[in-house]
Amino acid sequence: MNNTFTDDPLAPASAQFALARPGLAPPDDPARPSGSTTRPFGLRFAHPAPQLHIPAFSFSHELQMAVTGDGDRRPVIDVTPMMEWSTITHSDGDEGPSEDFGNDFCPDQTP
Amino acid sequence: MTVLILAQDHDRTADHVVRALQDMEAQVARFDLSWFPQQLDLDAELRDGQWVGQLRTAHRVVDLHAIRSIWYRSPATFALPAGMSGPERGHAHREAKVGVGGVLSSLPVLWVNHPARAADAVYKPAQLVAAASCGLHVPRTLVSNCPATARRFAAGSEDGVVLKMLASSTVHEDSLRKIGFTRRLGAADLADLSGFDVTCHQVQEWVPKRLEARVVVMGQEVFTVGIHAASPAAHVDWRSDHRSVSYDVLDPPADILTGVRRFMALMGLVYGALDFVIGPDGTWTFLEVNPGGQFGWLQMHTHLPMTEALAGLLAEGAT
Repeated sequence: MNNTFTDDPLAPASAQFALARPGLAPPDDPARPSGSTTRPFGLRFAHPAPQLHIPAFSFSHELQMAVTGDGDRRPVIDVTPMMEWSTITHSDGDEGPSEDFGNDFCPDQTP
Repeated sequence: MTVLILAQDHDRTADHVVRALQDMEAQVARFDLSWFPQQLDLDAELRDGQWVGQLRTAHRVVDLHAIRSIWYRSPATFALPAGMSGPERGHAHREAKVGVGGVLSSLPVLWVNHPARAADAVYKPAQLVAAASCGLHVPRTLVSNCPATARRFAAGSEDGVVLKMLASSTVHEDSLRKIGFTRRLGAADLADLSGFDVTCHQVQEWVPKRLEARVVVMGQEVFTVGIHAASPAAHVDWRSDHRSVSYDVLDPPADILTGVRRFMALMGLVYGALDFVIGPDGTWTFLEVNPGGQFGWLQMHTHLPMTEALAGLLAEGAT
């Protein structure tokens, strides 16, 4: 067990350098739930999550952080200093990169 | 020496860490991999068994050999030029990933966390075994696609069972982002387990709880925050009702701290947010580790210097 991960990683090669979906908006997937016999039981209780509000911003290469997009270009963390979940692009509730692994843009190729 | 941060452009936690590093007068370079290849260039040449070269934008140049540490903070995938065909795009993505990912992953620097170790940590069943082997108490857990087995497991659980997602608790459908929190399974749920057989499901015994704790590990620094739920929904899953949750700073028992450190070493993680249930009798039960778990909101509520600790870890470049 001690050498499982370094000697024999669980994650496939493509997941070992996981990259997130570009942008902060969730994908617009219009797919509808399937029938009760094919829809995974675990999704039965899933319900719509609140929409994320991302204020206008740009990235300052000088400051190396997001700045307001209103022309003042003030660091976003100075304007709204609360360190809340404002950049949630993840899952596992509202955090963590697990969703990124599931949406890897370079999946392993099947033989 | 430079601290390299791989993060998306809008990431408040990364913003705070950048500022903390700047306050320490540490050299920091923050890139998002969506900048590659249109705004970010990579040159890497193998010399004497090491990659030598640069990451380069119009604004900043980082020598690979001058990187002290890398914070892998969920960077976005490569943004390829428009006009490629689908096959070309797939090819270009794979080449970019193995090229950029391969070069960076092989740099002999402190990673927080190394991408491969973070990827392995996604496998929660493996987490539970690892935690148990490190002396941490873990809940009775079933991973199955057999309804009959789930019912039998539930019948043998004195305090009932919960359903928890194994991988991702979100799904995008109906043009919506949906989330499935931990749910206690009642008699009606167990009577109709349609769809249980189409994939794996994780069913766990309900662990009686007085409160929950999030243990945030940053190298040798460990911060522990108690999470108190004031609503029935938050009592089952505190993520479901943040407004009813309050926080305080805890001092974990020594054996928990020892187990956590052993677990982190076993998993090869430098950073982790570990979730525990603290029972009425004081028992700490490990639920899971999130190798990319958020901590900013905990610092906001408790004023624990997590941002500063992470910045210090990255600036130091060793655990």
